[in-house]
Amino acid sequence: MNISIAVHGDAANSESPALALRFARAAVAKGHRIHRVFFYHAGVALANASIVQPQGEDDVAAQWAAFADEHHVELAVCIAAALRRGVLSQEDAERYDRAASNLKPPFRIVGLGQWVDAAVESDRVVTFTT
Amino acid sequence: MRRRILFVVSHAPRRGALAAELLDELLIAAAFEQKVSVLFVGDGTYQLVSGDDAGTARGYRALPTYDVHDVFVERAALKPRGLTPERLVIAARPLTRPAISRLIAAQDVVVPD
Repeated sequence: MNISIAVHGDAANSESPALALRFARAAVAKGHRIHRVFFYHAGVALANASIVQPQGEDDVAAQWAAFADEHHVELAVCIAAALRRGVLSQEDAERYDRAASNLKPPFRIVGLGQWVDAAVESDRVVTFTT
Repeated sequence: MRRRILFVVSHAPRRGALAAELLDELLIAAAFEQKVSVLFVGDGTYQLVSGDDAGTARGYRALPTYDVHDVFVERAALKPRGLTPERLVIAARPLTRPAISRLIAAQDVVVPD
């Protein structure tokens, strides 16, 4: 089955990204394909490379990045939600005259249309709220 | 392919950008010609109360412009909050909980707030 996942919460305030990752791993282990992971609302903070996780605590963002690289999963971040929360690609940092970009690869900045596209292209869309 | 996408609003307004972001998502789905409907449950019904000009009520009032006509509200949520369908900014069809179950079961995608 082709599955897309929406992550609505960040790691500091919710279990959303951690639970979504456990679901994604289980789905892949069962032979399903993750079409796209869409980070929205506070979930865009997963793509913030400036966040430092204390030693000994799970770095869910790094785990997502490793999962995406291993299984060729697209990590898509909504641009409007990201700008609002200070997650900037190099291009956005230049456009809005900000001092630095902080987008963590392999997360990519996309428009909300990519979420609709995921909903259309996938057999299932599973959302992990805050 | 057109998908049946139901947005379920269960949180009160005034939670920062969250309500506006859900509305953005809904309007984009409608603009991409998906079969969009929206259901207000629990405290989410407060998002439809008129007079809240800074909230999302104004945005939801514009739903017919985007060809979104399937607007539902949890019937049991209204009375405990002192609300009536007339106080809502848009015509929303009150649904019983069993009817809500059927509505959700009929969707391709359900998006919670």
